Amino acid sequence: MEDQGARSNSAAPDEVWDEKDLQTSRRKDSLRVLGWRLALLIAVVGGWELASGPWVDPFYVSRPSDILERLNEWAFDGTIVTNLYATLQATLVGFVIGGLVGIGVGFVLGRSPVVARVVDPFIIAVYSLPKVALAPLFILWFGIGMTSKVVLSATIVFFLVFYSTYAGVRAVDNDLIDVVRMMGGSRRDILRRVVLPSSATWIFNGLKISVPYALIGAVVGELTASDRGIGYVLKRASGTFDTAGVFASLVILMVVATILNQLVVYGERYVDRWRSTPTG
Amino acid sequence: MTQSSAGPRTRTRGGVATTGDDRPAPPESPVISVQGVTKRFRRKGQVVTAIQDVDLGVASGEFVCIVGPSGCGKSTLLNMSAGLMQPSKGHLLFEGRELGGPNTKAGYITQKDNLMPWHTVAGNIGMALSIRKMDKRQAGARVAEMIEMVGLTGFEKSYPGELSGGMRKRVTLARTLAYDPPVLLADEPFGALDAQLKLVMQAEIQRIWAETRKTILFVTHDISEAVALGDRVIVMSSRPGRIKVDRRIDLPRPRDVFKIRHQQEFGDLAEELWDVLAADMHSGEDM
Repeated sequence: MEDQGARSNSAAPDEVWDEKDLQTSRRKDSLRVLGWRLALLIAVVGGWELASGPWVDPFYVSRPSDILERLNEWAFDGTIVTNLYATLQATLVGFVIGGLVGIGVGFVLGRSPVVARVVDPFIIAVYSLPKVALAPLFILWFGIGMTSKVVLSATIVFFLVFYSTYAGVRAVDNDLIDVVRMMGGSRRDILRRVVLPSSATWIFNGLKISVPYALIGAVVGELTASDRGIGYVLKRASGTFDTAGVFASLVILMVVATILNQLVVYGERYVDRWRSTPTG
Repeated sequence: MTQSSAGPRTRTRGGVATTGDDRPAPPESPVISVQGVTKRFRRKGQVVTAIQDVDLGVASGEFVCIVGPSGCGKSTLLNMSAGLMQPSKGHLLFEGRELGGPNTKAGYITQKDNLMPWHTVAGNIGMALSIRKMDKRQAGARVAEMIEMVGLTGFEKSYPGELSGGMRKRVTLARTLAYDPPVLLADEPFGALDAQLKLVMQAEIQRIWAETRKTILFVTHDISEAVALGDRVIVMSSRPGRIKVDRRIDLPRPRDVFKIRHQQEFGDLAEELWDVLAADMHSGEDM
């Protein structure tokens, strides 16, 4: 993961900054960035709007106003709520199940190297398989309902979380374990007081990278065969040559994914608070 | 040497109560008894003998210092006393029994500070108390007491990553002393400290030892530290480590670590031990 160790060496010593000056200049900076972002957004969306029709066939690219209209329509007729609910539910349940099982198996194998060596090639083999290719199998097994999406999502999440948990548990400093053992700590103490906190960063990293994949699992499952979910809406729009609908679905997915990732960032800040060095 | 190495203590003992057991260990049953111990490691396909045929007895309440060139197996000896390693040959008895696992009656101050980076200073120091399920308020008071003792007041809520090496070392010391193990194993605990702080900590550990009558096995590379603190100084040879000299230090107690260096006997002892050690220095690998 990103190394946070490089602490900001802000304010070079040869330059004397007035604290107030520094703040205003920072605020100015972020305002400027915000302005440019807005300009970029307007340019892209506006260009798209203008180009669609005169230069590019709207059948292929639709146009922002149509997409907005479709989103508005869906917002009122309940399309978004019902289908987003289904997708999020599959994502969340798949994430939780895959995450928990991944952490559990990662811990067990991380703490028992012999077992880990035995099962290693099998895990590698399954891991190498593109997990979304399992979608048809899961639909065969679990039907077109929620379960097949949850299972697909959980499978993808499992591998990601399992691997980082396993790596984290293997990376635990044995000297720290000895410290707890000499204090009279039990196996449970070792797990709770050393292994878990020490691998927390790794586990969290695994969970973090798997959030978008949980969504991918659910959506791919819906695309393969389903009767609800944003993936289903997307596929239906595509099947009826409704380009605006396709883009509208993509916008929904984009917003959802961004929000999920942002939640992860906040969570990580909380878990990793001991890493940060307070300034001053 | 006129006195036997594990002879009775002549130091007068104050009436300070320890953790309950009064342990007038007879000289024939030392707390730590190393009997013909050899320890070999397999390193890169080669067998390395860290220590060979070491015999050593540490009596209850004794302060024993071990000096020797780098790689002479000093740390190995401590690791075995801590129950983290088993001898390849011979026996290491703790209170008359072989150690099958980690020695929970010994506190081990390793060279590396081994603090939990995710715990604050207070959290680290209180860890053993929490493992031993001490009452929360009692543990809090004990932690505060330890923090004050090692001079870290104000840093209770800091994380180890925010502290200097010397401060971390003091946290390690406080963490070990917090749960009051009867035996202390210390592996160059003050090696990383600056000269002044080192003297302060030496005075501190001597005071703690005098008050609590712990048994201390103290590894150092600093002969004057060994002479200033120890009842006995063991000099080990370079690898494979053997005991070359087991010297009783009869300087009167309590010793003033700041002034003792200027005494004639101190200088003589340090020189005598230095001569023994220096003979081996050249054959040491990384000295």
